[in-house]
Amino acid sequence: MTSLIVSDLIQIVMTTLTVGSMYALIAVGVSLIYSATGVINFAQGEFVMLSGMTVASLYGSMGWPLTTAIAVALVVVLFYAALLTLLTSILAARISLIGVLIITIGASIATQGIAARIWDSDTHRFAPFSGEDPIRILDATISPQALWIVGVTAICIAGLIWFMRSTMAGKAMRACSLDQAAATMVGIPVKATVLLSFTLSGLLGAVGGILTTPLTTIDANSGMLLAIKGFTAAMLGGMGSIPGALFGALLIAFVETVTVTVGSSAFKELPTFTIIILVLLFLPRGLVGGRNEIGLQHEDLTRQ
Amino acid sequence: MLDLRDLSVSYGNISALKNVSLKVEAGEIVALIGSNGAGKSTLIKTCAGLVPPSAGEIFLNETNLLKQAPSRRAALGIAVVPENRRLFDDMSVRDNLQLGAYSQRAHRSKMASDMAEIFALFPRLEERQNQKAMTMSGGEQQMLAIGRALMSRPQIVLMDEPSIGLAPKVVSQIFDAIVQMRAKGLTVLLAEQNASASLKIADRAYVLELGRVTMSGTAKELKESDKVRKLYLGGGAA
Repeated sequence: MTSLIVSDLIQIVMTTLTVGSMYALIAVGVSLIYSATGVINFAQGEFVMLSGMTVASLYGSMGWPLTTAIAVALVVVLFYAALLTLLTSILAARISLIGVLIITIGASIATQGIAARIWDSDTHRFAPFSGEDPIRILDATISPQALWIVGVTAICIAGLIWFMRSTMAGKAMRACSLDQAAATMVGIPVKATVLLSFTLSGLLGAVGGILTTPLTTIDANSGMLLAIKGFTAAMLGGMGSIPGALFGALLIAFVETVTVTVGSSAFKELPTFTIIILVLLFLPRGLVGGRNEIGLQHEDLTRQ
Repeated sequence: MLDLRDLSVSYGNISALKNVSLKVEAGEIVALIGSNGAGKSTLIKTCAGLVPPSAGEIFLNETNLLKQAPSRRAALGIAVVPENRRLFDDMSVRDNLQLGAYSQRAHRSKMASDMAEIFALFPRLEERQNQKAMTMSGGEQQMLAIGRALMSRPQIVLMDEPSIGLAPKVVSQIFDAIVQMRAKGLTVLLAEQNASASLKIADRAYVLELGRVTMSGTAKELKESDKVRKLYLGGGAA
């Protein structure tokens, strides 16, 4: 009996970490782009969808080597990230940030439509990296792919934190998010920094798609829900903070996992949407309190 | 060194600078005196590329600055100590200084010695190098803003009211540092409301009123002019 409870706990912890990793990759990406531009990118989930679908068709269906398929998926996502950068930067000069936010929702819907034309509307997956045989710990079963997800995510996020804290390019990105005008005065090219933030966000999303598709499957319309989860996690943690995004993602994944374990999978999406409403109403700075401003304001001081 | 020719700037319908011509020669400290809203900050922001002029030209030596992207200007030799300091508040003193050298990042080896020189000029910064910029006092923040500007190995530093909000003792510390910087070959354009302190260290000065240059001359000439004494040096009693 006790071993049953212990296995339940192990199962909950492992599921939280796995699902939380996926949400964290998106939440950190949302947060990075927000820091650099003040825009919430609701097309963030499309990075995941595009990479997952690309690997699923090249590796899963057409039998290309996994590494080649991953390389192609990364190129596709980088190209898409550059396109989004271009779209949002051109628009940001003309319309309000809220307008740009709505455009990213439009971009997300357009991408779903185009993906459904290129591929189809069915769910896709490909074989896990280390086979299908689950690892058993007591009565808990853990998919080897889950270990890949948690491990690679941990490496990516640790690497990103190191990059932001210790390299000149990373510090320049933080400087830009703190004060674009001052950053310009010391010679930091703000536009290049924005492109870099979209690129890094895109790569994080792509890694998420490549890692999770074998476990969770993917279809042309998967992106939007993931973007909302990532946005919720980033808001909960405090928009603009990487540790905050990570923490928010794990918290949401935990609540979701417990809801599904104790209640029913019919309620799976209930906690996320409850949390986002509560956070937006009562905790707009998030738990870690990322930025100093309340909510989603972002002062662009380079424009007069 | 820096040459502003008939520069005009407007915000919408409001004209902030009208046909301003101003020169700063190499090795000079030139004061730009004016009250709030006279256009001092606008002039500096225009040189930094944060505000586009409606007419006129700005030359740094032979380079037409207006044809250079704002983020290229630090590399060309212009450094700015902006109004309200504009530090990277949430980052350490050391990070702020390193970012000051962003335009010189190709010459990494020089960064450590440049930073040592700034620490020699402002020992307080060395003591607080790992502290976040926003946790420091106003005077220390101003020192950091100047240090950050110096890290780009500039030819000329444009300072926007470095004395604002600081105690007289701190102001004289900072102005001493400006004199030391000039002794090492730096050129300074010093925009100030504090006319008495800035005329003490300046070689020449311009008076800016409602966006126009209304007087210019050597610091000595301006100090002795009745108008400057009356308007900016607290009455002409002496």
